[in-house]
Amino acid sequence: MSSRLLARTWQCALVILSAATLAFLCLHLAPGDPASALGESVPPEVKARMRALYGFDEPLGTQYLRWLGALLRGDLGWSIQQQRPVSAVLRDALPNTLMLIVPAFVLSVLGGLWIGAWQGARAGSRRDRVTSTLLLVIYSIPEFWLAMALLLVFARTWHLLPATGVTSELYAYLSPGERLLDRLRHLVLPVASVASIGIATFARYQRASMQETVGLPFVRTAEASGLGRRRVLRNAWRASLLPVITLGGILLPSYLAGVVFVEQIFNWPGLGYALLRAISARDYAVVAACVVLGSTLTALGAWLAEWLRERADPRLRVAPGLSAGHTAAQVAERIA
Amino acid sequence: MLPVRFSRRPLFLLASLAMLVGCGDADRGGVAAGETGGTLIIAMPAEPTTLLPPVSDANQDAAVINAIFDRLAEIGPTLETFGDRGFRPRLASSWAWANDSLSIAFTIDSLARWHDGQPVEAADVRYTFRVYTSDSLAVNNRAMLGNIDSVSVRDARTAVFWFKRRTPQQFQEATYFMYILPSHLLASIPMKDLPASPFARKPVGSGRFRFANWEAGQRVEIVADTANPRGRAMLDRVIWSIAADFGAATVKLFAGEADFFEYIRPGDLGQIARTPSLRLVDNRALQYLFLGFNFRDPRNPSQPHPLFADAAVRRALHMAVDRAGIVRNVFDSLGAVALGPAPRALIPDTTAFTQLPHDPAHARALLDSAGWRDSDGDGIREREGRRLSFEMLVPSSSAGRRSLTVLLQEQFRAVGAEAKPLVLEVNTFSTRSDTGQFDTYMGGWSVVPGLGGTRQTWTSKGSGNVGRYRNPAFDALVDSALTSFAPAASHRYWARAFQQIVDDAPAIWLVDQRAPVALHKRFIVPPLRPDGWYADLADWRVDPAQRIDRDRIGLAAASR
Repeated sequence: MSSRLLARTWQCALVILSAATLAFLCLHLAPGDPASALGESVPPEVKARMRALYGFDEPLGTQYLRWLGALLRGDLGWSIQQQRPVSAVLRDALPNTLMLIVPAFVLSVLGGLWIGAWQGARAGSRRDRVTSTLLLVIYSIPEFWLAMALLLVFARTWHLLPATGVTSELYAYLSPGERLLDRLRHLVLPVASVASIGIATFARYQRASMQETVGLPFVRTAEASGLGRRRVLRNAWRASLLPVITLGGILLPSYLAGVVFVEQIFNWPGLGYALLRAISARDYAVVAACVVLGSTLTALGAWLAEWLRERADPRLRVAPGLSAGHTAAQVAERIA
Repeated sequence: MLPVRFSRRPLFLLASLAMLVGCGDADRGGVAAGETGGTLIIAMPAEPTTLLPPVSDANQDAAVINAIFDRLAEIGPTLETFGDRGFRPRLASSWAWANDSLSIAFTIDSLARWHDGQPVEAADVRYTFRVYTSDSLAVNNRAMLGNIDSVSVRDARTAVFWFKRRTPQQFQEATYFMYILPSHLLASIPMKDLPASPFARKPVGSGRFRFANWEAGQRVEIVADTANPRGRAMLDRVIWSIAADFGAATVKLFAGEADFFEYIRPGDLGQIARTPSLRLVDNRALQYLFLGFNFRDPRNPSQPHPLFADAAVRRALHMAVDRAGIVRNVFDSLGAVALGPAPRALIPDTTAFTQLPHDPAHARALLDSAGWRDSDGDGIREREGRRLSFEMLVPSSSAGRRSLTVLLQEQFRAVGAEAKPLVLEVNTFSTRSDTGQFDTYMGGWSVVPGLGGTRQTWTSKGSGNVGRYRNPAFDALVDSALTSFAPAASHRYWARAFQQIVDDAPAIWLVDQRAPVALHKRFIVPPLRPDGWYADLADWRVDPAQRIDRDRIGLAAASR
């Protein structure tokens, strides 16, 4: 591991701890606690007993240290709202979120890179301008709005696709083939909500990068040497990937954030769904755990992007101060 | 009593258990035939928190628990709580009162079985009482069991409840507030660990439905217990389809993904009427809403409230409100004017006491005589430099209550009072109301049969009396009403108690709510019991002529 990656690893750990601590403190500073979240119907003496049982009446510092100690031992705590270990809550929620994010991310990357490369190779043409306008519109739409529009049109109005949930209520009674179809039908709307905006985002960056790369001297040289247009563009596309790889790492957290609202709208029991429920119930342990998990995934994304950049550009491994903007002479000088 | 908030149910508690050992019949793959069979899907705007009855306090838990577990005896449709005449045998096949009425011996039905096949025994009853009164758990109903001294086991089938004093509600105390738990599955678990036990999410009960499956965030399923001695449930299965919120739940209903939805709002009525497959079923929910006054100064609770310690001000504000008009405006046909601190369905004689009239002129005169006058012409009265101005706390989660505050604001202004609605997130609302940090608050209670909850919510020592209304005369009348063994005398005491609290006006009694439910037309259901629509769920059935695909699955075990 390069010193650059090592430093990034320590940064990630610090970011995760800071984010979790902030989440813990912010939620404790908000009015109410899990006992008050039980609502008016529960007598005050029952709430008081609950605070005593779970230690919510202790000083904030004591609660924080207890939580931190447990976290360092790998114990994520107990969900007051769901009356089960937080690890069980996450175990149920994380696969559902990944089921949404992974296909959405793959679709975003594949679709975005293809459209962006296609545009970049034709920058300035009428088709490029029309496509850019369309992508800009999609890019500007908030995910939750798009999700609600899709739900309204395809589920409530036309009844073409299921409105909510991961599977139908009678999923357990379906044949294997029907189950697969049922899952896919439930995936369409939420994945489309997340992926549409992802495709637009990747395409915009890929287009800009491709357009810039196509103008570089090595492309002109390759064309002048008689290489076919398709092969030249393929090489240009590979050279234009570096900023898009970086973007992938940066965008991963935004997928996690965006999916929170999409999960809520489509009743998709993933991390975002669990997080929103936990916030309203002042379920401290679940909120903190969701933040730890989210920031871990975010940090991992950044770390992975860094690693991929090093793989894609040897100059970053050999001489960390260098980048694609340095000339060959500068590279040679640094290496010497 | 509990406040009307979606996810809470007051003095209800339910039970839970640990491993599901299926009864063989459920796996036979029977198909719907005759009057039995069918699948009911219920849209639920929140996930249950637990299926362990003692620690459950959420409305969304109650229906599932009620279907899986049994009480010793079940209250009848009249909700009569005086003695035992309004109750029907359930787990107990009979009971006998001691000569001094300080104990009741319940005989457990010899055929009663837990869903794992073990017989229900008196030891289960004794264990259940220990759980409900344990210091290691935060049990919502514990306060309702204070008159029970202990439960003993006379023999394997006889459990004896011993009481501290005779009251007309003894039988209700022994039966209504506890679902019986299986001690053979739970007794080995430390009391404090029960909420974390597997049983809390995979309960074993004795009801006509048994637990089948709980997929976190998605659904809870129960199926008919075909071996139940009281007869199998008419439906094959009931599935609670969990939604993120009210909006998502109504989407399920109108998209045809659900058959039933409990939380109908006035805005949904039109769409239900336009949906051919749905109908409204009347449900006299035991809920009422009110604007409660704080009798103590929120900044210095040792001092009386500068405005509302004065009965003349409270009565004037009460008379300023056209309750019939605002109820009609906000709730349409889903509400009636509340008569006092109880829904009218529980008030023995609603004509035996009189209401404060809607009389703005009288209200102004009362305020004038109390020294509140508009000396600077800005439309708001003052006295000794203080304006007749106050906040109204309202939870953001309740659209109905928010609308009420807007209308109240205008009507108060007409008599020279400035009311400022303060809409708060529900946690903040709950915290501030519990701690007395308010001038007035828009409260709501959902109550249990009988009027015993009145002591908890409105008497001087009641933990739910957050406005700290105190009147020894009212307290005494309530005590007399609750301890009188002669129904006629009890009714007279209640009439006097209601008259006293109406005259004292610790709150403006606003709405006696109705809560009709939306149901698919293929279901045939008995009248819904006001204290819980689900009380007779095992008797719901599907019209054989209207069955749809999901009604024809039968009891075949799902391949999970």
